[in-house]
Amino acid sequence: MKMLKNVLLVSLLVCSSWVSALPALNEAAPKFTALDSNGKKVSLEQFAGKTVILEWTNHDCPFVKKHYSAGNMQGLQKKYTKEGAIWLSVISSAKGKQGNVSGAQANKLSEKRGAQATHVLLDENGELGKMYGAKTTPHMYVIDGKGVLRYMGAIDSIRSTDPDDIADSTNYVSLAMAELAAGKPVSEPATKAYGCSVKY
Amino acid sequence: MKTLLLLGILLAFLKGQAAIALATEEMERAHIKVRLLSANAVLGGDDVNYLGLELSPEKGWHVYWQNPGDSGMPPRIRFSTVDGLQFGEPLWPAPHKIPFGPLTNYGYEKIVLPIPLTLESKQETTLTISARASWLVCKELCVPGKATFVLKVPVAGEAKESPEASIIKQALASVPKALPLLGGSAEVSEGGDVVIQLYSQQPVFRTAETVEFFPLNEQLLDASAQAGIHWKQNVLSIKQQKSAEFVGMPKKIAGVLVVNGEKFWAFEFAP
Repeated sequence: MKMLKNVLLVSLLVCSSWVSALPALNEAAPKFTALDSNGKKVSLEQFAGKTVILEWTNHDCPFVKKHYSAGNMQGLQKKYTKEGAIWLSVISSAKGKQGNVSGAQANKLSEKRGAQATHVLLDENGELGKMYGAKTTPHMYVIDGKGVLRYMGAIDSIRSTDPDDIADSTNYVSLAMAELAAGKPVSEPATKAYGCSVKY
Repeated sequence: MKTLLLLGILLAFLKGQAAIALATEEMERAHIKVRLLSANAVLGGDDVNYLGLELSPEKGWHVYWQNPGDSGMPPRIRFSTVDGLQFGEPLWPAPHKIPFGPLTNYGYEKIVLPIPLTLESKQETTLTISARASWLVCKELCVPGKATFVLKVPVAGEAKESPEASIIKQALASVPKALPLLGGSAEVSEGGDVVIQLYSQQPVFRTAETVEFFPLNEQLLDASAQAGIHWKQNVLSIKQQKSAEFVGMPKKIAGVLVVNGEKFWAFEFAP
């Protein structure tokens, strides 16, 4: 009996870790709490009723530089936070790896680049990144006001490090935001994210 | 004696000709050297000619296959139009897996991508081929790079191999060949695995001891999940966790199989 109990317990544990390892479209986005660059606790639940955009980032990655040097990422941050959405930039680079920054450094970077994220989340143990299966920088997620995951994948449709390609690309985050605002289903709900590996 | 001398001069001349390299200088960029080669010193005849884009990353660095896996970006080459020449798409030798933490990429340490070249006019001339290549070279960090190449290739009645021909032939040997299929199927299991079944026309797996699989579809399988591969005679099945970005079964399923590390097959079917 005790053994059966243990087996059940183990299978439950395995199941729960397996489920949380894979965020699924049109299902509740994994809940999380993380510290932001000012040492403040931020949790997904506190933004109930608001659209939340997650952006995995690493300021030294050439794919991230493409979107920041052209002002593209900041433009999206500004537009959607102004419209009332919450923008969370997440840094999952492990200690000693490319893109790993302290809170102060993260704030300095935001200032220097004119970034307009609501919070920059520091995730150097990679917990949040692995919970969402974030693979690349950038890697984008859109969660609607009910906490349901509506988009996951690339920032746009042209896989390159060249800022000149931005104008010719379809921005999948903008597409998802526009369709959600219009009460329509997201037409491209999942795409293959492109970029540098997240430096776990 | 005179004839011998003449013959000697002639031989030396021919030898000298054959040794003319048909390759650009190696362009040295951050963490990689890149050059463009031609398998032919002289283009001619009806056979397909090949160019080769040679990418030589520094030790420990890599470039990517056409499906790069969890991250990264494949190299790209674009040619300026040349009258009388048709450039094909680059051919991709079979890659290998490059793990990085919880992620998996498909790529190469050093590679030559053969590019088919068709001669449309047999007029004797010298053609100038110009190309722009770009790539992403990564170790833990990634550095994008680009270079422009110019190669002058004479055209004559008969083709002549260049000293670089062997490099390109070697690369062509690991470019997968189309695997003729009787059919194939693919479905998602209840557990969230994609199960692919292939039925080859020939018993190509009869003597297989190892089979590696690399998907060409990018939103089908989780590159970092272990693939369960089983085979017998002409049937092969692959079971692998579906990709987190899976949105539906693609119209075409394609991939590469490496049998015993030495046979390279490309398959494609409509599920």
